Amino acid sequence: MELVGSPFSVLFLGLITGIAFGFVIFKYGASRYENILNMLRLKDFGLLKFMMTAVMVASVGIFLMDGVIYIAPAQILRLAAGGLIFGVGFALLGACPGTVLVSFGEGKKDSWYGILGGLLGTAVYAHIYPAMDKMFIAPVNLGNMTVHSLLGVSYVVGVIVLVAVFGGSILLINKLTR
Amino acid sequence: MNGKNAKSDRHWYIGGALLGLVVIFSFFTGHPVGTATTYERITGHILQFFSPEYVAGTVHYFKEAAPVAEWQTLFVIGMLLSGVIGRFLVVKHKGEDVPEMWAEVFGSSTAKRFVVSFIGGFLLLFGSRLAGGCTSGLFISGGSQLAIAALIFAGAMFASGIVTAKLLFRGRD
Repeated sequence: MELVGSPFSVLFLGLITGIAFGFVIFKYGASRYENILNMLRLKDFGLLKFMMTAVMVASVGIFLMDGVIYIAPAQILRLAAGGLIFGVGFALLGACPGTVLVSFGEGKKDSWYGILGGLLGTAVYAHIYPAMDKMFIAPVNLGNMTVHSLLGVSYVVGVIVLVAVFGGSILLINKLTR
Repeated sequence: MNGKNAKSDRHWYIGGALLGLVVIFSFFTGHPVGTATTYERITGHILQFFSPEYVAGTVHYFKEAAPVAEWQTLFVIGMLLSGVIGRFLVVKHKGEDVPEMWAEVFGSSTAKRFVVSFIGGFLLLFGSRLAGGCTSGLFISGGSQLAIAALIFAGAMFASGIVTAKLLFRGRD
């Protein structure tokens, strides 16, 4: 098995994209424990607005440049079970797999343990993968379902619906928390 | 670094829009953003060092993520570097080992915080592998491509995340 699987230019592109992505997360406080936990405690929805704004902007950009790469299949059981386990870890660590890396760079020692736990978690998952596949992955797969394929509308209408729902949610949150 | 409620909404919208632009750039160059798969690759490399036979015999490492360094590996290193840049060039101090808000409830014991962080990290990445992605890969990249999978994952993760956070800080609202 080879150690390096991509040309230098691709690796370099990955590096600068990672720095940009991580720096925005750092700069705007999306890797801060307080901001993540206050969102989950339903006390401050700033971070939720941040994520929803990012998805709205990116969805329009990807539509305009016809840049869809991969639609994850709607394997409902695995998404629900994985998401539920993920959420508990999200609240305990106060970080997600990406933001914990930024925290690591910032020198926060609790993130070291989060990352070590994460490596063990992936190892255990890989070990019991055949059982997980049988239980959660194989049973229900609705295919590469999107907002527009579900609604039976065109891609552009799908983007409008997503932006309207996310934008509307933000306005609703603002109204309820004022 | 300012604290709890000082951030205005505008701050979050500008930040979110900038993050969205980075995601667009990433797709423009042919790569969806994502991090969780790299944990598996690193684990694969570590295990391979000790027992190549074990890795070769574990179907998952080949089916979903062969342990090879590629775009996402460097993306992950870049995210880590962004924290280093922030620490040394922006805030010019080290981040706290035990978050203030955590310490107010559970004390400033590092051992306690580190044990919970380890368990949290374990569940985070186990859940991520089971779901097939994380906040960046499934929710941000997936949602930006209008994948229903992103919305199911987000619903589940917020449901259990909210319950866990409410339990952790119960009686404090």
